[in-house]
Parts: sequence; structure tokens; C-alpha cells
Amino acid sequence: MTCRQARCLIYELEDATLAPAEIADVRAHVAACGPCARDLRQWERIREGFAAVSRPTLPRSVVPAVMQEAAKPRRFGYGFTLHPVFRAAVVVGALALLAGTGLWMLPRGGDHSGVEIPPPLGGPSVRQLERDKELKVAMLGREHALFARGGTALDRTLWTAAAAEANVELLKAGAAPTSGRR
Amino acid sequence: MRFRAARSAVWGGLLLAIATTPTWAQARSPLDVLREALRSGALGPATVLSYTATCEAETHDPFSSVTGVTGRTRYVERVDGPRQRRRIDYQAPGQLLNIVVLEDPTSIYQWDTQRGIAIRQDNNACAMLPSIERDRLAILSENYTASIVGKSTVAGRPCLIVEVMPVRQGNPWRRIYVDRDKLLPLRTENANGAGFLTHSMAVVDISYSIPGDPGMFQLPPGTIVRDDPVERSVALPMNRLEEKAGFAPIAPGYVPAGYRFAGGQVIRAGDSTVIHLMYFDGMSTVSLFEELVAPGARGGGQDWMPGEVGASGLSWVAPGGAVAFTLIGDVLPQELEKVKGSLR
Repeated sequence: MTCRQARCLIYELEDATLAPAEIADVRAHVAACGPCARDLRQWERIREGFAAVSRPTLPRSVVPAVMQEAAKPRRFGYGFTLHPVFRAAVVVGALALLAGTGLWMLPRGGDHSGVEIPPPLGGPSVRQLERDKELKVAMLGREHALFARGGTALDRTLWTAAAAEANVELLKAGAAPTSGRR
Repeated sequence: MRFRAARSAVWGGLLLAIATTPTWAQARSPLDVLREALRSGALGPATVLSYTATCEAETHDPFSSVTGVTGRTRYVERVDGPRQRRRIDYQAPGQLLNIVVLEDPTSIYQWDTQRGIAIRQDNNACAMLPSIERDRLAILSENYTASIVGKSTVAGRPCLIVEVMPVRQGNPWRRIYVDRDKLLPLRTENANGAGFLTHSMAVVDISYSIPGDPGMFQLPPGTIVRDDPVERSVALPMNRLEEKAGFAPIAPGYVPAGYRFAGGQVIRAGDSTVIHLMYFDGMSTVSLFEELVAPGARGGGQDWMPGEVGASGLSWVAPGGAVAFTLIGDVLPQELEKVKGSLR
């Protein structure tokens, strides 16, 4: 199992959605991989943060609208389609942010109340829509890093690293070469 | 007699050298030291320094002084000042292991050495408006004060410690250890608007030379190069953005004190078009992203997101739809809330 595969699955370790073999694979990988173990610890910390947040009751009147939104054809974030390569960058940016900066802030947001709504048939789950929105914000974080890199030279290498982390997945995503070989 | 006069001259010269050499940098104003530090740390026409530095960077919990270090990166930076080239080799485990960044005045290549693939970005893609570029030091000195607060040694080099403090509370500060002789920043400590240390960088070894291999700053033959699929315009004034993006930007009625509009970019990736409004106070940056929302998108909710290097972010869809906003900046979250409130 690669780090990439493991990092996709560690978020589901506690959700009872993985097969026993998958759980064993992830656990074995995490036991041998420091960065992934760190990611798992941070994710567990985030989950603890969620658990500490009181869950407001979702008004019944809201459910049909949410289900209708979730059942729409797969769209990204606020409702626009996303270029596949753009999406890959978003995924990595978000994972980098999750791993590096503490997603424990999320419970402060209005949309992260922990309300569980079952996924509708044939459409993305509400959690997936939520994740997509988070990923888009992370993608824009890369653009902010590129801008901030041009701010003062004092922070330049730090912002370069921040932007580079978000770029890593672009290299893995297999975008078609456009500039050829050097 | 002649010998005594010669000996006096030698001693006089030595005393003069001792009296002047260590203090020439100190005799400069803190802002002058900072100006030189900014020049020497960036690629630009004024950069002439060449060096090889091993650096360690640490990130800290931006909302607590208790948590301590949350991440650590080690890298080797090589700068060829006269030829305007830079190379960074990341050595830390994690995402950037085996990644090399190569930079020249026009391009930045992020090279995955294991896979032999590089992604290319324009180096000037995120430049600010010319007026902001020209006045950046003046803007910095409007919003921050610089003072030399002491001396130290970093990587065996004597340094002056320069503190850059905000004029207004709630803005970040920096402490910079500048090589006394070369005026290169060798250590930086950055705090956010709440006063918490967010990240620090320290050179652990430095030599003011680079190995002679000219190929070090170039991709090796056979490397597959891919252009960044995200297209970015140059920095544009507000009144040119609608024409470029196809929709009008919404300028905030409030930005944190000291911040100026530094330009707007139109970003395209596939079917997505985003306007990036950039604000700058000479040290820190605030980004406002705007995007048209497809009909039927739900509005209302907002998410707080942490950003890189201690920045925080806020994302929401305007009530009634139409535009999705995302704000990211290394300022206090309350300030971002005020910006949001001014976008109604």
C-alpha cells in the first residue's frame, strides 16, 4: 500500500466503511510509515474535536433541500464543474493542509455540525460535497501561497514550500505533457 | 624612528579597520538593513549574492503557544545571484521528499526527481501591479517599524537582529537575523496577528559560494515537463478584470488598515474562472477569490479553513447565490469577518 492510498483510507478507519483486510493494510502501513502515522494521529485529534462539539438538531424542513442538492449531477463545491487536473491539485492541497495545519478549526464553521445525512442513490454523498468544498478552498490556498511568495523575500522559501506541497499531486495526476521533454 | 612611524601607521590602520568594519552595517538605519536583507533574499536585479545554505523550517500551531512545533522541513538552497537562478532541494520526509524546485526569472520548475517529471509555472504570474512593486518598501515602512534589537550568531555567522513590528495591533511581526557582513537573512521568526509564532526558518550551514556545476540549475535531459494547467493573468487593475473574466469583480468596502489593492488576477482551470483580488501591506497578504455560482447553488453557510504558513481562510456563498467568495490571509480572523461583512 502506498502513502497515497493509505492517506485516502485513514479518514475512514473509524467509519466502519472499510473491509477488515483494508483496515489491516492501513494499520500495517501506518505502523511502518511516520508521515502517515502523523496524519492518522492528527485525524484522530480532529475527530476528537468534532466529538466535543454539540450537534444541533437539523430542522426537518431542511432535509429535502439538502437531499435535492446532493442528488444533482456531480459538481464541485458551490455548483461549478471542475477540471480533473484542477481537482487533483485540490485534493493534495487539502491533504497537505489537513496534515500540516490542524483542521481542528473546522468545528467553528457553520456547516460542520456533524449532522449525518444518508447518501442518496446515484449521487454524491453530503460528506463528499462537503469535502469537495473544503478541497476547493485548499486549492485557492495554493494560489494565495503563490501570491504571498511574491510578498517579501523573508518568507519566500516558506511560501514556496507551501505552494510546492499543493503541486505534488499534479505531478502524480498524469496530466498530459504540454511542453515536451527537456 | 622610521620603523616606529611605520609601526604607528600599521596600528592606526588596524584600529581604524576595527573601528569601522564591524560597525558599517550597524551604522546604517534599521530600514536600510531591512532593505538590503529583502534584496539579498530575493531574485531580482539587485541580487548579486551566491550561496549554498542548509535550512530548517518549522511550523507552529498558529493559535497556541503551547502546542509547539507541528511540522519541520529541511532543505538545501543554492542561489546563483549573478545569473538569477535558485535551486531548492527538499530533504525532509513527507510530501516534498525528493522534490527539487528550480527557479529563474521567468519560470519555476517543480521537479520530481524520482519520477523524472517536472511541472512548470510562470515566475511572474503572481506579480503585483507595477505601482505596488515600485513602492513596496514605502508601503512596508508605512505599516511596520524596523529596529535593530541585538546581535547573535547563526550558522557561525555574526548577525544583527532586526525586529519588524506592525504600526497597528493585530498584524503579524517578524524577527530577522541578518548576516552582519552579507546582509542575508539567516534566520526568521514569524508571528501572526495574535502574536503566536507561526513559523521559523534557520540556516544551519552556509557558504557564500556555489559548486561549479552549471547544470545544477537546469532540469536534466529527458525530464518530462508539464505546464501548470492553471492559467493566470498578470496583475490587472480593478477596471480591467470584468473584460478579462467575463464577470465583474465585487470589491470589498473594507480591508484591514494598511492593506492596498495590489492587483487582480483572472485564474482559469478547465471550466472554472476565478477572480483573485490581492491586497498587500508591505509584509503580509490577503487574497479574495470570487467565482460565479451555477444556478441553483445553495448559499448561506461558511467554512473556516486553515491556510498554509499560519494564514486563515473563510469561504462562503453570498446569500441569494450568484457569487462564491473565499478569503485567505495571515491576519486575525476578526479582520476577515469584517471584510466579509463589507461584501454584501
